Amino acid sequence: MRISIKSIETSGLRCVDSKIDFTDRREKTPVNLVQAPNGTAKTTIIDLIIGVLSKSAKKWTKSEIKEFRKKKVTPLPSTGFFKLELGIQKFESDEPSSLILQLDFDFENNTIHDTSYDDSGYKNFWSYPPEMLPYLDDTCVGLFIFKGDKTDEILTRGSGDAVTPVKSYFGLSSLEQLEKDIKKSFRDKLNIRGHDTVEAKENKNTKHLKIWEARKDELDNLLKLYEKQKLELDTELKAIEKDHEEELRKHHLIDEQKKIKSNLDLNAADISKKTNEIMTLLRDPFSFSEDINDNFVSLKNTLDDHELPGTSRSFFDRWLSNSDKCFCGEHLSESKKIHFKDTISSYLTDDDISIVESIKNEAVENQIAPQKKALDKLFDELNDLFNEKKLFEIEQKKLEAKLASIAGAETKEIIQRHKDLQAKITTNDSNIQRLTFFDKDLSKFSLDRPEACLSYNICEAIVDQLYEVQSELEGFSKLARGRSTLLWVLQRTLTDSLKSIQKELVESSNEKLGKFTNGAIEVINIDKNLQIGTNGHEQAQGSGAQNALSIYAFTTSILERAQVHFPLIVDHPVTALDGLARISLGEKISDISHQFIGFLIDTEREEFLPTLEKSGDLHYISLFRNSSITEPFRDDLNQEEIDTFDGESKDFGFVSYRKEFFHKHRMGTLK
Amino acid sequence: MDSSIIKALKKACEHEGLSQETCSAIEDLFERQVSNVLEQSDLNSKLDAIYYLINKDLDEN
Repeated sequence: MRISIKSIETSGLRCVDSKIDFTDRREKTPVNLVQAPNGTAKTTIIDLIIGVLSKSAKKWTKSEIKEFRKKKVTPLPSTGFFKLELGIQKFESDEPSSLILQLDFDFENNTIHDTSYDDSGYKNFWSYPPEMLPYLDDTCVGLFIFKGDKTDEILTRGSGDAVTPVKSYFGLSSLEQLEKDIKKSFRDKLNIRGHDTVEAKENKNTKHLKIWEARKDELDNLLKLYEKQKLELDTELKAIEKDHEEELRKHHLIDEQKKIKSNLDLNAADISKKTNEIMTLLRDPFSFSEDINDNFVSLKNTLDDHELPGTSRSFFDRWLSNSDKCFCGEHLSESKKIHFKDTISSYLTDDDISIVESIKNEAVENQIAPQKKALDKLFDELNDLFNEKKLFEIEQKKLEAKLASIAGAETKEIIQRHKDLQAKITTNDSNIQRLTFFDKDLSKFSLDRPEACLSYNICEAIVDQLYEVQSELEGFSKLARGRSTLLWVLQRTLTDSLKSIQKELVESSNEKLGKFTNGAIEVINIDKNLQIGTNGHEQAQGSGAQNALSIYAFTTSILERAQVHFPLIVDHPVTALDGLARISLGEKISDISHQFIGFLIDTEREEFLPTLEKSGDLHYISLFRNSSITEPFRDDLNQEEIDTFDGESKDFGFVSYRKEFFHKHRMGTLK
Repeated sequence: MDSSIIKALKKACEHEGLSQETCSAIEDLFERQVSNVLEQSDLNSKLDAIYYLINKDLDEN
């Protein structure tokens, strides 16, 4: 299924009243470029599209709704609307059908109302095609509508998250929810009975279940609180970091700061990689225990001395059916045959023999030396990395001291607030980490003392186990067996499918990046964030251009793979790119989506616009408010464009779709 | 539903020795959940049917 935006229309809202038509590849060209003066409220238009497509508008608070009201007109409008017309093409050969999703604002009560209209008629709610439903959430919509800097959202180590959009887009988040629902349904089923059988009442498990359930709810509330705080603190940090960065820039320390940050990020990646290598080696006991190896070699020698494991069951089976002579050379009598047949099951199978043989082959005298050496070397390297980390941290502190020494009181306050906030975030993060910590070994927790358990995840697993026991107790053992098998299948499906999707997305992103950058950058992995690098080696982040291209490659790979294809909508599509990257992206943009809507600013025109024009037709959209300041633009409109003016509106916008108009007028700096 | 989910599901069912009928019932449940059309009221009856099929398979194995 392919979704395109055919048009948007607004009235009474803080963006200029207007109707804009878009095209897609099927109709004319996939590339729509919108230019509008500052203050025309492009961001509002993007927010409205997100609000309708993700259904998040339904969660807007009264004060958020109020913010959409047009401000600078008298009288203030009491109502407003946003109309989003989608073109929906189910199959390649189908004619697209139209779906209008409307959001009506009542500014007297600050409420909204949703309606929709399609071939089947008018509906008093947003009615989407069922195929679209899985994609209608903030995470999925955030993937094809680029608002703000995606680098932090997807690429940056620590804060970036490329896995959540992948899970959300391919339905894995939804299956994770199913896992919770299955557990809940099972628990509800048992709780309906109230554990009132005699066996249950008298059993300790019932008591444990009650106190652990209470503890789980307590930890769940705590976790929700810290997660909420995390969102608030992150937003606050972003704002302060902006101020902090501004101060560094003002005192010409920004490059130094970027270098230190990049070194610290790289160092963190190396430490994590080295630790994993060490953990892998530590799982092999031969790498650190000489005794195990010596005993193993001695076992091998003993087996060899006795010519073991010898011959397999199938050998004796064949021998008994094909031969009439015994090993000793005598006749193979019936009684001997019966004796062999009775004892044959005690012989090893072919597989068992090959396992023992392969274990024997692994046992090599003095094999400990190279592995132990490798482990020692890794520990030395890890030590060096920690020393390096200390040096970078000293550099960071020196830089902060330098900034504090030359800065004024206001800057010092920003630095202090930045430090305080980082400390708060560290504490909050460690609380979340504690609550989400998981250890498979649940036996270490005393069932009489749930208060000793500080992790929600562990608590949840213990409650789950207690419910399993409870089900046995109350005669639900078959239900429990069915449930645990289904949960195992679900968890295995989640793990395996995520791995396979990630692998395919890495391959597909790299195929695109190969075309965009001639292999200068590649996606190495999708671990929490999108990891990029060169020649298989990860780097903290690439240049602005490399980051942006990696994100384009990753995002479009996801969009192409999904069953429903959405348009790609980007605010400031090439701000972060240098000249060459703009040219490179300009050449490819018409291929990466069936519909691309870019909200362009003046500084992005260079290199990008000429290359786009060389690669095919464009749909030019110039939008501006009807005011005295835009008179030069209005004077240049043709009659047809002027006729679209709605005389009743207090804040109407003109739209021109002409190429020459777009080229002639640069609009970015107008207020 | 993405093909990798179906592939992983079939592999997991096979590993547990579940029959094709059981696997199809689980696939239908997953499909409904992923497509956002699984009503909470339907969940319990679907789960009961799946538990019955799983137990039948496990008893037969």
